[in-house]
Amino acid sequence: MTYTVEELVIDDSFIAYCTRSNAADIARWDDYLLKHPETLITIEEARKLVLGLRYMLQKKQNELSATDDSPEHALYVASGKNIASTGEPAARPRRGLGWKKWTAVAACLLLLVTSGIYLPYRPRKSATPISTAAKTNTGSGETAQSQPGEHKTIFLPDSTKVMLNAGSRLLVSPGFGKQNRNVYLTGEALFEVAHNKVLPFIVHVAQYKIKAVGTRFNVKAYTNDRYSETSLLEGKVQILLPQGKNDIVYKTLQVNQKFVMNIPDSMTTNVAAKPEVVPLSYHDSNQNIETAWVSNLLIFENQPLSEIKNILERAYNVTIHITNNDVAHYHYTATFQQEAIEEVLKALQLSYSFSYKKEGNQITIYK
Amino acid sequence: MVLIDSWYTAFRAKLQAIACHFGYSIQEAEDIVHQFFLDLLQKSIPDAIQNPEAWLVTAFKRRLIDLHRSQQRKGNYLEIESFNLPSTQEIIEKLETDAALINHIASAYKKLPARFRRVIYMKYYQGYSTEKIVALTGLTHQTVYNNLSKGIQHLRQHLKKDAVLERLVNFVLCLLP
Repeated sequence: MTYTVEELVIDDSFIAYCTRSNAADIARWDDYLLKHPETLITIEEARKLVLGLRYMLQKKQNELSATDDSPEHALYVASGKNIASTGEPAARPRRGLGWKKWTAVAACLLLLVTSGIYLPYRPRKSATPISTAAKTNTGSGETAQSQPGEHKTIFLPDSTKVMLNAGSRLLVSPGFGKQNRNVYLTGEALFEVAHNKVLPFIVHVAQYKIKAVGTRFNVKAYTNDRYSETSLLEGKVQILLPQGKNDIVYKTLQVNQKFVMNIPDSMTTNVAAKPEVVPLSYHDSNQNIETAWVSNLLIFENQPLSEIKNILERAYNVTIHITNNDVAHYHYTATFQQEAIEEVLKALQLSYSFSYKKEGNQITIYK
Repeated sequence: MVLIDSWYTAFRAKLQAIACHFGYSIQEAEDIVHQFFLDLLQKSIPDAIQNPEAWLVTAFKRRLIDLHRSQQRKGNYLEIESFNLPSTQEIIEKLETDAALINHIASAYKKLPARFRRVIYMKYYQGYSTEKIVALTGLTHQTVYNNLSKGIQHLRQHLKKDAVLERLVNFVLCLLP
């Protein structure tokens, strides 16, 4: 049996052969070539496709969306400057430096990733970034609120558990548990919804609704973020979009899927809200990025400082002002757990340099 | 000796396939490759060969041309001479230095439907196996496989229109044995 170009290109073992990353795979495909020398041209085309695709995606990571053509989606796309691409020299017709440059780029990327991950978890010197308030019950018609720098766990009358991330607000409808199970969220919360087929649980956020029967999902809908997200961890939820006076079911999410909707910016009037469904992002096999906040982890995956700023402001109860537009577009990949805000900023500085000054809770970042 | 041994292990299959490409049977190709490496053992190899794969392929092409000239009939002199199989290192160097080529591949990728781009991105940028993509997306194995396969098929069609892959072949080898 011989393989087509398409079959080869998508074969994990063949990809390892092309990248020379696994001796067993190299031996396997050398053996295949010995037995089927007539496939040489097919193998060569497949090899070029694999290497070309990999290199192109790394080189163009800032411009390409895996899911749509909008240039805004932070999961796959970042506008402006990126640390992985900055400093890359212009094309030059030199030989012999290929592997060195390749290795250097890989080393830089690894450094950037590990610079955050392996920071020692020292006790915080200044204010705790996140404090966890005691569990409380919130009745129908009441509002639960968490302050910046605070997580709050609340139980609703139907036994649904809600963890509020910092700077969030949840309004429980007056007839909750009897006529309906409606809640209204501003900010971010992880819901563990008690099962009730008769009264579906509906989370209202600014642009859409999330309807669940009994499930676990995370909703992020801060007013100052560019995206609103709903990530499904267990069960099923429906995303309802308004259409006239009614709602239509836009999508029923499957486990490990995330609904993302960009928030139209009043400054850029021509960008319309654009919903999409994408896979969840995993930091490792156990920790997905969307709910890392529950474990007091701050995980940034190739995010611009302008977005990181909002997260830091909420987690540390500070106000951050970025004075330079270039700096606002620097992208960082890092993980923090127990660091003070100064340590976080210093670690980010190491990856891509900027200056800052801190006066009380006011932080100013400049080039 | 050790060097030639390691080259034999690493590149025997490719050289044999090249010989078959020009019309030799598997047995003939095997004999030619064995003789080629035996002859290498008798020769002094230059000290600073940076790209053994390219060096060997070019040397082997010379051998095929010699065989052709000595009336062993297989191949065509000009055809063998212009037959370029870039090494991995050369492909990467070409990708690094040819911005237009990268733009062509990117442009072909951008033309793909979102469902194809998503799985291609996960496989070739994030480096996930097909099984991992199945787990992360919640799609069935068959759907992921089909999307990957169709995505690559469409990509090839777009690239063929622009003759992009040929550009990866037709750059002149500078390393001569």
